Amino acid sequence: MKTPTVFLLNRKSLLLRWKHTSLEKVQDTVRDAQRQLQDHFQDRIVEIVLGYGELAVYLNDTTTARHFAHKLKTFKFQIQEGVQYEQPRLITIPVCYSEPYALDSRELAAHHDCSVAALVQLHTTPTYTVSFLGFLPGFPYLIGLPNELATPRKTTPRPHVAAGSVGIGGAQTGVYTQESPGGWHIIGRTPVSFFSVENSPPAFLRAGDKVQFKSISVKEYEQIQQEVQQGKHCIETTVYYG
Amino acid sequence: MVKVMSSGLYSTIQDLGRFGYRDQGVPVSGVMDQVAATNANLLVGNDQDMAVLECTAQGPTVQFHKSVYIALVGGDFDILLNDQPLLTHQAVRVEEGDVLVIGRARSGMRCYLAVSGGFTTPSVLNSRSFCKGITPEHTLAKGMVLPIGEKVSELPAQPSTLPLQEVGRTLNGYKGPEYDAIMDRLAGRLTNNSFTIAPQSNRLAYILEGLPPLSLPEMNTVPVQPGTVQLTPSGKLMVLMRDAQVTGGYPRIFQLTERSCNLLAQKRGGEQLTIELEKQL
Repeated sequence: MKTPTVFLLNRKSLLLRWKHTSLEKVQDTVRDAQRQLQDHFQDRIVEIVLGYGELAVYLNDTTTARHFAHKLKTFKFQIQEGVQYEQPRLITIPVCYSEPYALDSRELAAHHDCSVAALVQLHTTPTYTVSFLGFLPGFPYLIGLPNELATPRKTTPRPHVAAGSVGIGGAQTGVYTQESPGGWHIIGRTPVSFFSVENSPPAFLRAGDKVQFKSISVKEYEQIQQEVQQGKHCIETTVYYG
Repeated sequence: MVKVMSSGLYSTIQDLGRFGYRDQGVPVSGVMDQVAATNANLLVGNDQDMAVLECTAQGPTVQFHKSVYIALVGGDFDILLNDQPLLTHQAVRVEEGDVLVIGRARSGMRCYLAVSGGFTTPSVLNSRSFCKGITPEHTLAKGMVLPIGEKVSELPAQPSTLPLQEVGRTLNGYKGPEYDAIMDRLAGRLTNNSFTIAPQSNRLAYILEGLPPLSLPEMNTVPVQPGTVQLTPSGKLMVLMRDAQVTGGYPRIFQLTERSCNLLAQKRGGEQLTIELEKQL
């Protein structure tokens, strides 16, 4: 594994940053580093937050950032790039790409000079990877959006985007895990919930998960929504053998 | 317990924050002014991490259904206990049926009400701090009942002399990760500038105005935390506060000191500030 550079943020936190050319590859490194740091320094670290190409380490009261940076100098990251510790999960997310959930699909299809059906086809084809969670509780940052679908964010964000909305913003796609303001183009909605404080862990998705979107009808959407409300719905999860 | 008779502008229950769930996108939350809140707790003999009531600009009216000690610390608010002005920054005994009116802030922005035993609203993911999407409630509402813990410790016999709150108009920050890359574009306009706090500033972020719009390099989404100062293309500084999201996509030019976070929590829209670079970390 490449050695990261260390940046002290304040007395209780620091950043580890990796130079990279491919976001997908560097995220494997960032995730592996997170695991090793958590295993090795569990008595010093409160939590670790991932971003693209970097991670932030938040330290407990007994450890200063300067002291921890010193310890890191002699710490050997073990994992080789590309080696996976566990087989990732493949999660299938049902999405209704029809009205009334596809708020911006027509506009987006016109922008890309294609049909709404072609847009849905493009969005449901790739296997995406969860880089990390952020923005909202349980919100996944996904890598893998086809270049043809990359679209600059809306110039004026919506004050309210419904929970479950599936959007495209820049080169990213994701699912709003709770109602929030948002500037992404909304192309559909999932009836499935990805965050609940009743669950342990509360976020269903985790960094490294593989995700596929599956197109469903309005009728199927309503059926799954009912199952979710009754606590009977299971999100389709298998092992990813990519 | 305490009954909420009117909610105030933006009143919440807060402790020192929610830790262990940031990698799942859960904000830290917690009191905005840690010095004031901690001191309120210490005055009534509580542990410093017990939950307090945070009032913003205009506080709530509450009625006590139990005899307890209370202390109010922070901004200078109009406060009446049973229609009589109440001294703040000291422990006061209230009886069952007493009504406390926390009015408008004359100076400062937030004050903290600690009760002996602490507020014991539900702990969700290891914290009682109200947070939208996490706790059942995210602000106080009329009619709400706030439970209070059993008193466990005695009042401190001799209250220590406490620093009341941070004062001044200067924020101090360490260099953020993108500071060096951004600085040549700004040529000293960050630290020799007066910034004005925008009125929409809140528990998520304070917005500081004072720079013209500028073009910024595209950034990937990266970790941020309370106290992180982000520079936006509109020329505004977005100072992340306790309810901020855990990742962000704008250049991080400063990380404020804890002291400056507490200081800023007592500022309101229209006030002016300067930023100074902290040399030593």
